[in-house]
Amino acid sequence: MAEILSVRDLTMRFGGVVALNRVGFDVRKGSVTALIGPNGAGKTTVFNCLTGFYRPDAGAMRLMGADGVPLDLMELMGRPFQGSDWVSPRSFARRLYCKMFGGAALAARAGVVRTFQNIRLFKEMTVMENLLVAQRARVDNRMVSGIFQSSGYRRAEAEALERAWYWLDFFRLSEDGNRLAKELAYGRQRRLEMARAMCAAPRLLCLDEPAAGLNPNETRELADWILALRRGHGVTVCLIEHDMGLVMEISDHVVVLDHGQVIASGRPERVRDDPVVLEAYLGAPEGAEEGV
Amino acid sequence: MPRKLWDAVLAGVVALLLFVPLTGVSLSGYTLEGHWQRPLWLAVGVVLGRLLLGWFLERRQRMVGTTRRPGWITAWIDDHRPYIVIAAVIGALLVPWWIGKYWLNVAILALIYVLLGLGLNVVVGLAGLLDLGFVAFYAVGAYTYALGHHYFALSFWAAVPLGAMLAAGFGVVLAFPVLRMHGDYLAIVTLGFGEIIRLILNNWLEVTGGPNGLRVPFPSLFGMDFGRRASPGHVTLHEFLNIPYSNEYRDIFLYLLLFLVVCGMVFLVRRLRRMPLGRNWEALREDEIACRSLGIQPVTVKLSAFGLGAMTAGVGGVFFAASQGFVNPTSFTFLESAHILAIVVLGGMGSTGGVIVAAVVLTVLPEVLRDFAEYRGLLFGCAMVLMMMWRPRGLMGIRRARFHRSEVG
Repeated sequence: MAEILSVRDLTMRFGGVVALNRVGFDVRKGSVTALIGPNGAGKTTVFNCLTGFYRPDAGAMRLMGADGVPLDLMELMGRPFQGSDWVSPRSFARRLYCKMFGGAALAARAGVVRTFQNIRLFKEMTVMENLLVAQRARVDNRMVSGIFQSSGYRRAEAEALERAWYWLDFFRLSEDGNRLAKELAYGRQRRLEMARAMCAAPRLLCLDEPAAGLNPNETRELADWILALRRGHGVTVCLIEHDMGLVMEISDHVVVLDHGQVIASGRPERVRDDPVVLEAYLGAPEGAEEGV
Repeated sequence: MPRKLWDAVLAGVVALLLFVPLTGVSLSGYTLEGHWQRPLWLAVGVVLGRLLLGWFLERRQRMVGTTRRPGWITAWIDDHRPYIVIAAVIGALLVPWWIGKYWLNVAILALIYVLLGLGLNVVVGLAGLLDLGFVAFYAVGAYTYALGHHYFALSFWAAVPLGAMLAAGFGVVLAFPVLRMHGDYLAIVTLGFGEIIRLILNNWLEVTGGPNGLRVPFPSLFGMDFGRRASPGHVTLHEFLNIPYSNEYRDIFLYLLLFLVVCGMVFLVRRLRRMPLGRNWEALREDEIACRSLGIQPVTVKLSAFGLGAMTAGVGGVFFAASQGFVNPTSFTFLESAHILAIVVLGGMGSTGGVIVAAVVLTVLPEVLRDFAEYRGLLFGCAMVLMMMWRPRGLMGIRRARFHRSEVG
């Protein structure tokens, strides 16, 4: 029942445009939560805020840490200084650090890892290298031990390789390990991006339109993989998706956004029959048809 | 075939029409003189050129669709890589003993450029940060030794680590304000930085001596001098080893020392590329946003690349000062940065072997072609254009690490 993520009153403006207006929702641990809504509703903006690419103007985002201590994501984004920050040097140093280096990298280290709508791979690197880069936390980052190949370094490297192979097998990419990422077919690139995200040890995996451009068979496989991730690996998934069939099939909870506001949320069947949602999707009645 | 021939003839006729008035007539005194052979030869040249071009294009056309296999040269190099490396090392160790003083100096310069190329390769080739002011760090290294000796009697052996650290410090300081910049903007800022350093060195007369430069002593080996006569309190090498004096020893010594440094750098870059840090550099070059989404901090990754590149340039600068015996700001113009960048581009961004070959070629070739000195720029430009057309990814391909499943797992 515990929430791994709770978002409250998230507000984001771009100049005069209010992209997000007091958005709030919860993501339960081990669930699949779908963010849906018409184009321009603010789904990707929510993702960008969650993963630290945007600094929201107001609101609260709390991520339940692995140790059960809630973590203030807003702080990681480097929110403006407040009076209390100047009191203790420690909190000041932390605020300064977040202000300078904060954002996406810190959010990812906290366990919020994402994929992108337009695939972003390291194209000139091999598939394995893509996966090794993602294992930032697990490799031995010390320069000296790496240059002289200490036993500790080699062990860490071997473990990282093993984990990379595991995820390659999981997403059926084993034969492609030594190929350049740019050489892969589109569907495989999507899978590689998910494998890479998994290598970063996410606690909350944010998938931005994972089924875009996939054929029906590939979409089916994707659904199986997402369910397997959540069942077998304790990953909480949050996804943006336009394919209503996929959303209805795999998600436990659906949040509907329109014009930067949450207009409905709840179990997929409930949301599907909600007249407000149907109205928002005016002219795009896929959601309604799927249920018939 | 007739089509190509027809094209060539047509091109020849056009060339003839153009070249007759352009080159066929010249003014001599008050009369016009005809040189009818000149345009004819030029037209023949155009016809042959057009034929070659047609043949080349046709061949390209045929190759479209077929998967491109690596050429036999690349394949041969790949198959014999260890032997080539061993041969190159032995060759490089033997070379200084018989090439004479003049070419020895050229070889030292070539090694310095190899070092600089390897350093810039980390910044531009691996981390993808276009740095047009690389020469600034080179200058910092050289002037660390020169000024350090002038004011604090700093020895060569202390100047190497100090120059490296100072240059790395400058690199990090420069990197901080430019962290948020990409591509063109970064290039312009670094260009400005390079010029600032040079202008300071040029105009701060009281400290740096300005354009008059500074004298730099030659390094000693375990306190032994390389000169004919020892300075007070020192021994000379030839007296110590009881061999006849030759002024080549010091250059051979510098060459071998530099060779050692270059080998160390090659080893370092090779290891780094297979380490998390090196992979992060390349990942950052490929996609910064994806890096951040995986928890990689672009700041530290960029700073480390800038720092390591600058450090290498600093070491190169100390060696440069030591080998020339004299430094002044004219050695550190923008042209020098462009030269180093050309080495990296020609060698293939990110390819260590390619950078070494390109550095040696670009240093030795101008010396070989001294007779054609006037055409050097032209040849250089043609070579660059041909390279970009024929092998945009550099002289040698880049070999990526390959991974195989371990038997144990």
